[in-house]
Parts: sequence; C-alpha cells; structure tokens
Amino acid sequence: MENSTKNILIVGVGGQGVILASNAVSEIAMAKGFDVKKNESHGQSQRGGTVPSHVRYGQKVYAPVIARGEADIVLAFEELEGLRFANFLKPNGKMILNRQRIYPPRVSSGMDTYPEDIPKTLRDHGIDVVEVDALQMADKMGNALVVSTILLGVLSKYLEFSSEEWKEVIGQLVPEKHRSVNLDAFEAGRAI
Amino acid sequence: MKEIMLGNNAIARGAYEAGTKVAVGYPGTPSTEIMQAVRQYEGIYSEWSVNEKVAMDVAIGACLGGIRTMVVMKHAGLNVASDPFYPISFMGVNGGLVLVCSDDVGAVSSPTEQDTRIYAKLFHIPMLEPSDSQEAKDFVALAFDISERFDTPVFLRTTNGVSHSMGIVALGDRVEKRQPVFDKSSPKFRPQGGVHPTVMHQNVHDRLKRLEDYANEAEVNRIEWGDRRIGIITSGTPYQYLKELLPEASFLKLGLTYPLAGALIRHFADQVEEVLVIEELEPFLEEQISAMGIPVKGSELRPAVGALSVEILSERLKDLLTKFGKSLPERRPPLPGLIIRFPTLCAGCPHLAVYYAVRAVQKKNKDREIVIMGDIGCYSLGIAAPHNMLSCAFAMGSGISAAHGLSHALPENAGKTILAYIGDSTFLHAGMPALLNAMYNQSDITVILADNRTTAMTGGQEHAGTGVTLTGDVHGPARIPDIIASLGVRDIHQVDPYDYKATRKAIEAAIDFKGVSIVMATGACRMFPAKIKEEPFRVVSERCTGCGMCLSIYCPALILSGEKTGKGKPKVKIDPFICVGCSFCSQVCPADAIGSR
Repeated sequence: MENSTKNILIVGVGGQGVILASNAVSEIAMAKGFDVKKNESHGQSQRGGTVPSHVRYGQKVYAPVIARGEADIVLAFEELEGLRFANFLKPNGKMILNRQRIYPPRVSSGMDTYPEDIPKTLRDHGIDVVEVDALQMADKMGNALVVSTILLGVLSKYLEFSSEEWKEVIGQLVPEKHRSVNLDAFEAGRAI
Repeated sequence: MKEIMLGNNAIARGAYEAGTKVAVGYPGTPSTEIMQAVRQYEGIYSEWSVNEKVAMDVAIGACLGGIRTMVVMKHAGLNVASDPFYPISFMGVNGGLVLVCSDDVGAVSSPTEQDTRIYAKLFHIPMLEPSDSQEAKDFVALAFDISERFDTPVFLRTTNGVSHSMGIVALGDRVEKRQPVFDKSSPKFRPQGGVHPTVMHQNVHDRLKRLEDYANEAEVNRIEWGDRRIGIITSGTPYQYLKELLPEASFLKLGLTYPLAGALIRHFADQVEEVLVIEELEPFLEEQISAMGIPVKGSELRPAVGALSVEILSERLKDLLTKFGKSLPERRPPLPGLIIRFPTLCAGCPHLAVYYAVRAVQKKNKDREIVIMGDIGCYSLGIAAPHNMLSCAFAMGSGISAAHGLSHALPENAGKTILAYIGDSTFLHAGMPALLNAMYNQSDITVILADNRTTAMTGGQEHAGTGVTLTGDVHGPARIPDIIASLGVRDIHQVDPYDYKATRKAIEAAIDFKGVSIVMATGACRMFPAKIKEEPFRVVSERCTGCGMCLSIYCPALILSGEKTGKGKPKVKIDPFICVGCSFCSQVCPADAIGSR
C-alpha cells in the first residue's frame, strides 16, 4: 500500500545483535516525533533460529509487521538470512548485506548445502545490494561485538536522521564502558 | 513520558499503574515477559506459581482479600486453570481480578493453536482485546474498573501480534484504589453454604445483561466513520491490518469483545451497505453478529487458522481493495537456493546427551522397540527431525500418564518398551500427580526425568526445584529425588547425562525393571539461567575416521571440516565458538579423536 511509512527489516541469527540495531532505529524514530511499531518473534530465537525484526515508522503506523514486497531496506546481518528476506523488498528497495555466513547445523553436518554466491543471486534478481564485511571491520577495531553498530552506521546513510542524533541514541543504548568503541564503530559504518 | 514498549511490558506497566497488589503466573509463550516485567515494579507481590491452576487459586485468594490481582498465562495454561476460574465467575470478586491470557496464534511455540475467546462466553465474563501496546496498558486499568463495578473477573486477551509487538506508550502514575478487606463470614464466596449455585448462576446472567448495556456505551467500542459502502467490524491486531489496507472504510473497532455491544453493532450495520467481520481463528464475533440477524461476510474472506497479516488479507480482500482503487504491491516468491534454519537444541544441551544414550540402548536391544511419550519443554524439539525421538508431546505433564495408558493398550506391550520423557519444571507443574497415578496403579513404564535446573524453553525461568523465586529470593529447593522416592518409586537411577556410559547403563537397567523406574539425568542447561561455557574440545584430524558417530549427537558445534579420510569419508571439526566443552562427543568417538587440548 502506498503511504509514507518507512519499513526497515533487520534480519540475522540469534545472538548477532539484531535487536540492539532495531531498538536503535525505533528509539531515534520516536525521538524525532514519528509513530513507531516494531515486531520480532520471541521464543525460538535463542535456539539458533532466524531472527527477523520489523521496524516501521511514520506519521501513523498501524500494522507491526512489514508485508512481503513493502520493505524499503533489508539490513541482513547474515547472508542466508539476506537471501531469505530479499523478497520483502520493494522493487526499488535496498539490501545491506553483511558478508558473514553462519552455517545452520544441517549444513555443518552435510544434510543441506549453504547457497553459493548470495550477493550474485541477489543482483541477478535485480536487487540493489550494499556489501559490508562488518565482522572483519570489527576485528580490526579489536572488538567483534561491534558488528551491530557498524551495520547501524551503514544503515544510517539511507535514513533521514543526522549523525549526531544517531550517536545520542547509541550512547543511551550501550553501557558506558563500551560507548566510545561503539561510537567509533558507527562512524566506520557510516563512512563506507 | 513516552516509551517504546513490548505489548507484554505494557500490560505489566498497566498493572503497576492500576494499583495491582498481587500478580501471579506461569511462563508460556507468548505471555512470559509480562511477569518478568511485573517483578520490577515496587508495590506488587509477584510470583511464578508451580502451574496455572495453582496461580489461579492464589489469585482468587488474593482477590477475595480485597486487593487488585492479576493472573497471567498462555492459552494452554488457561485450560489448566479453567477449573477454579469457573466458580470465581459465579462468586464474583472482592478486589478486582484480571486474567491475562495470551494466545499463541500460529502455534509459534505451542503444540496447539487455540482461540481462548470462547472461554469468555463459557465463563460469562467480560473480555477486553487490545490492538497495540498503548491499549494493552490502558485496558488493564479499565479491566480492573469493570471487574469492581460489575463484580466479575475480567478477561484481558492478547495474541502474539499484541504481546510481541512494540509501540509507543504514554506512561502514567500508579493509583492505588483498594485496601485489603476480608469478611470471613460473607456468604458471597460460599457456594452451597451462603448462596446456592443456581442463584449465583442467575446473578451471572443478570450481570451479563448489565455488561451488554455498558458495552454499548464503552469508549473502547468505537465507530470510525468513513466510506459507508463498507463497514468493518474487527478487534485486536486484525484492526491494525485492515486500517493499513483500507483506511477509507467505516470501522467498528471493538475493544470489549464479550458481551457484544448489540445496539451499537445494529446502529453501525444499519448505516453501511455491507458488513465485514474480520477476526483471527474462530468466527467468534461473526457467529454472534449473524445470530442477531445481521447479514455479514467474514469466514469466507479469511483463513480459519494461523495468524492474519496485511499480506494475507490483501490477497483475500483483493476484490474489495480493487473496488476502492487500491493496487497491491507485487508479492515476489522466495529467491532460489534457500534452506531453512531450523531451531535446534543448543551445543552441549543435556537433552542431546540423553537422547543419544537412548538411541544407543535401542541399537543394542533390537528385539524391543523403545517408544517415548514426550512432554513440553526444549526436549519437545526432539519430536522433529533429525532427532525423531518422541512419539507424541501434547500437554504439560501428560507424557507419564500417556505412557501408562499406552502400556495398557498394547498386549504385553507388544514387544515395545514404553518410556516417558519429562523435564524438571514440567514434572513439578503437572508430572507429580501423573507419577503418583502410575505408582498407585502399578504401571510398567520407565520415566526419564531430565533435570536441567531451569525452565529452559521459555527463557530460563526459575521454579520450585531451583529454590529461587520470580523476585530472586533464595530458599531451600524442592528436592525432586525425595519427591520421587516418597511417591514409592523403588527403581531410581541418578546419573550425570554427560557421563555417557553411566547414562546408557542406567537406561538399560531401568527398562529391565518390572514396574515404574526412573532415570533422573541431572545436568544444568548450558544457556539458562547463565551461560556455561568451558574450554572447547577439538578434533585431532589425523585420528578422525569419518565414521559420523559424533555427528549423530546432532550437536551444533560438530561440523564437517571439509577434509576427507583416505577412504573419502568427510572428517569432522568442532566450532570453538559454539562448543561449550561438555565432553560428551569425546566419549562417543570410537577413534579417540576428540580431546580437550
């Protein structure tokens, strides 16, 4: 449906920091006066399952879940999850793809095959892909835990909020002792 | 002050603001977070009760004491709690009593999908259904007001769509309206003693009539006039989906969905050309509105199972949407090459070890087929591939009795060895009477009691067996081995599930025993209440023969290394980030290829 609501779908695997990222988007949108709805599945996420987190903001938001074909941006923390939710994008939507692969147990034990060259598959289907290797960037910064904030930095380039506004929200969401490394990570992501 | 809140957290906030003094519940998706949020508020006594029936009884006692009380559970829990809930509807309340029940629509984490709205009719009680987090909070205070004004328990019903979605909530202050008062001689709460149940029943019917009058005036039932060619009657999250799809339509949004606002519904239906009733699961509203003689469409335009969504409704209501000039976005199929990421038992999970030991015993005893009647918990994942361990798992504490029943259905057990598999929290919830019954009636079954020291499936809640309460008080835990022994079980094998040989031997001995035997496998969950991660193990690649024994544990830490043996068999390695160092695979490996260094 045509409306002014912005639909951001953040996907990954339990433990990757998907929820931190979607919380940051929700908080910044509320701080800027938008109505916000957010939804993620609970219960199974801690069992190695897929974690999709839907964030929607606009003047007035009704449904808490993004419908297939209506996402402005899919931010994928993991390649297979990016492939899984690619069809949620609008025709002119954008995929931010973290080049990280987390093998499901059925792949690790040889029962399934992890799809090859996911970025190519996405592009072959006409999807506008921004690739990021956030894990490598995080390792270089000496802290593998800032992957989420790096990806948030990349996402921030495509949303209407200023760098200062983002940093304020991130500062509120992460504990004091991790604040400066997270702000650096955000800058690094935004600089891509 | 505004905050983005999960629907469940908003309900907890609502309980706080409404002056709730006692809140009780039992964990269950999608309701669990409510009690976990309630415990953080000052001025509310909160507890995990041992099961939902007990929680309901505790709540009723507190309500009779004159204070505002909330009781929280999931849909399956309401079935358990329904026995005491029925009479409290007859008796009426002293302080307000609100039942919050969350339905797992779509069976995300349940063996069933159930529409608990039908209980409102059965119990003759008013029901409120919020559509978002703000309403979830506001409706708690309203529920208490209705409860005290109409002398009735009130049902606040949510689904995953509200409980597990977040929205902006305007916070208010706490208002305490009630002080404890208890008149021990009041006839009101003494069915058969003070007032005859049939008189109470009549009162309940009279109460419903007054509630229907109230429903016609209640602000939570509101008409939003739009294009009068179509009038949509709806509630809960379906309201949100329809407002998104067709905001131009006229809406009658029902917040109070039982008893129905008859006059308001007639007034609305009279002024629109066509009436649609759109709801999730059973045609609860639709049947009642049709019975009022109002022609409606509903069931034929929606699926009768699973959660609705904007996407589903946009397909089903395509003709209507086209009539209003709406163009639907293209719904593209999934991209090629996708594989499913199934939820799994975690690396080092004690259930993986016990399941492996059971399979080993089965391999050694081919003459008899081991059948396992399962129960509710993480181990329920064992009902699916690749484990395929459980023949059924349907309700809390039911596996033991189902095993006992099955043992009587099969002549001489038909070459089968019948096991029940149950966890600690589930055993303490409803497994104890089942075991007592099996003992009393001289059953011949083996119970595997896998005690992982927490309620793992719902995220690691404490329970009576850990001795830690919802609010973190620590006291002497209920001792499960003593409970089992006191019920008269003679053949008890206590093992560490990570000791492979001991577990296997214990299972073998237990199934040989004539009568009720128990293998109690005690090993702490590796995820909850705190992560347990020891030094990871590793595979010495030169020694790996590619036999695949360790892979059949189905531990997520064991993965193919990409190397092959001389005979071309794939070798295994251990993912050090995932491995928690439980050592089980090193005991299973016949080539001694797995070690801790």
